[in-house]
Amino acid sequence: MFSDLFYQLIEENIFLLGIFETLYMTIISSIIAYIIGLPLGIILTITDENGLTPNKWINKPLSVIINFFRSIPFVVLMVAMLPVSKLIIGTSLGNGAMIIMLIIAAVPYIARVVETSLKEVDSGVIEAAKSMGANDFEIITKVLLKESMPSLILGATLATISILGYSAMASTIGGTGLGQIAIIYGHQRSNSDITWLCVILITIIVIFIQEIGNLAVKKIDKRKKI
Amino acid sequence: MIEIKNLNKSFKTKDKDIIALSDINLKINDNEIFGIIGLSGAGKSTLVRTINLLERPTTGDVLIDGVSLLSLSKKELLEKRRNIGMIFQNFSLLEQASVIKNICFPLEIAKVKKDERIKRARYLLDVVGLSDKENSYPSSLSGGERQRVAIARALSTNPKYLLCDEPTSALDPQNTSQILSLLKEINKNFGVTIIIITHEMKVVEDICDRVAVIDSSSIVEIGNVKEVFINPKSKMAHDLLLRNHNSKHIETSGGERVRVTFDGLLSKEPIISNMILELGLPVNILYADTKDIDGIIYGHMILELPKEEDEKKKILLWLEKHNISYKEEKEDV
Repeated sequence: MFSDLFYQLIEENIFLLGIFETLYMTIISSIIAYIIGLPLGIILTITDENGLTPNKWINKPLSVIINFFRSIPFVVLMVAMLPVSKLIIGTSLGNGAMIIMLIIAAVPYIARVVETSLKEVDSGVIEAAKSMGANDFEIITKVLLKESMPSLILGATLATISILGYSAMASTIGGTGLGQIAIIYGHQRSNSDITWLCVILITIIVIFIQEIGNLAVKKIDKRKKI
Repeated sequence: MIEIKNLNKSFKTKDKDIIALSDINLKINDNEIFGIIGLSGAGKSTLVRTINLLERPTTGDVLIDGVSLLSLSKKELLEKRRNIGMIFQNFSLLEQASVIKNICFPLEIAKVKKDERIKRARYLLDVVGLSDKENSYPSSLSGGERQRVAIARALSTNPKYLLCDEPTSALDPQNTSQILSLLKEINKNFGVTIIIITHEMKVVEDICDRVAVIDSSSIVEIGNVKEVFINPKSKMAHDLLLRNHNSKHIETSGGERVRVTFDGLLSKEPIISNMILELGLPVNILYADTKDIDGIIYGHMILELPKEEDEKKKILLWLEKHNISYKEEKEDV
């Protein structure tokens, strides 16, 4: 029923390794992308004309750069950014390069997702915090981030799943993971069973990430569920 | 004491400046409950926000206990704000924080130690009557309860002043009177000076000592609530008093109208009936808004008097004799 190669890959734990590599790349990229994207999202929010410290000289250029990167399709961005990877980690090939690409693609996306979440926070609550004598830093950490936490987590779930999707293109620049298995063993050697198993495994990972996100939100959100 | 001096505030939009406040001068004494009443858009919310500098005046000055807020550094201003509590129409509680954490929040910002914060918060929960809701979250509370939490939160840093921006506008009548009496209690027991913004004359009548009437960006009248109530000098104050008054649309015989004010008469006395019976003259009650507080009647009525000059005079004399204030009501109102 299955191809010989299918059994061989299973025996050699190639799929298991693929799962591990895909998860590894996705998680590392997501974490680093958030370390950069979260502050950018905060800056976008507070420098907005209705924000805490309006500043169009920061907001406008940042917004333009983010829109620019977000409008480039990932495969094109990947090719275009190869020299950047070489500059940062000395190579434009393999999983390291792939992680750099994923971060470059995810940061602008995350900045926007974070901005959307933070802008949902009721301006009245921010005003109340101001009236209590809270400074801008306290408003960001104790009001904006805390009040929008459920939304931020849902956004992070979304971003992680997008990054996982991009990571499947890893094989294009010599990265590994389920995407590479599907393309090299499944597509190029015409073993559709291998391709399909990869599809199923990726789907399971996506569902898994989404469920973790949903559960976390359910646990921390103190607003009444509608 | 809060002093607002020659204050102007305008907002710039793309094509023009919008004047929100124009030449405001106001003195609010310690320990009083001061009302600022006006229609929405009159500028009253902007005005209250200049008192803690959430809105910066374009020109003019705000002095709190003699200190100009505009002269303070950013840090000093943030500290000063701890002395000025504020509550809002929509409560503005932290939805992701429990009731007690909400009340502790201003103290956390003021860097008060955790056990002291909790102690103070529990005390205030008791003051506002919500001790059993300590660990609840705002979403599970009613509007009245949320405003109580907001009041406790505003009082946590023991402020001398409490700014209230339409504190009862989102509440039903029952919760409104409960919140108002709580504010009155706080004023009395803690000596907190309260500044209350509203569009309802009822709120002013209920708890304010003095009131400023604001109409299209300017203060048109300031006075004791009783004075303004009995003898409103501005059209706006008059309109606000007779908010739901539509008698001009009622077909009447066209007799002269007077607004009769009840203030401190015994409610068990059927005043209008007595008058009609004693004089044998008819009056037409076009509008009445009275209420009974501890057996004493407060409120006002608009009466249409008979057309005959001497009958009219008899009625007015009777009113004067019984110490009932009245004022002629103009047709165009």
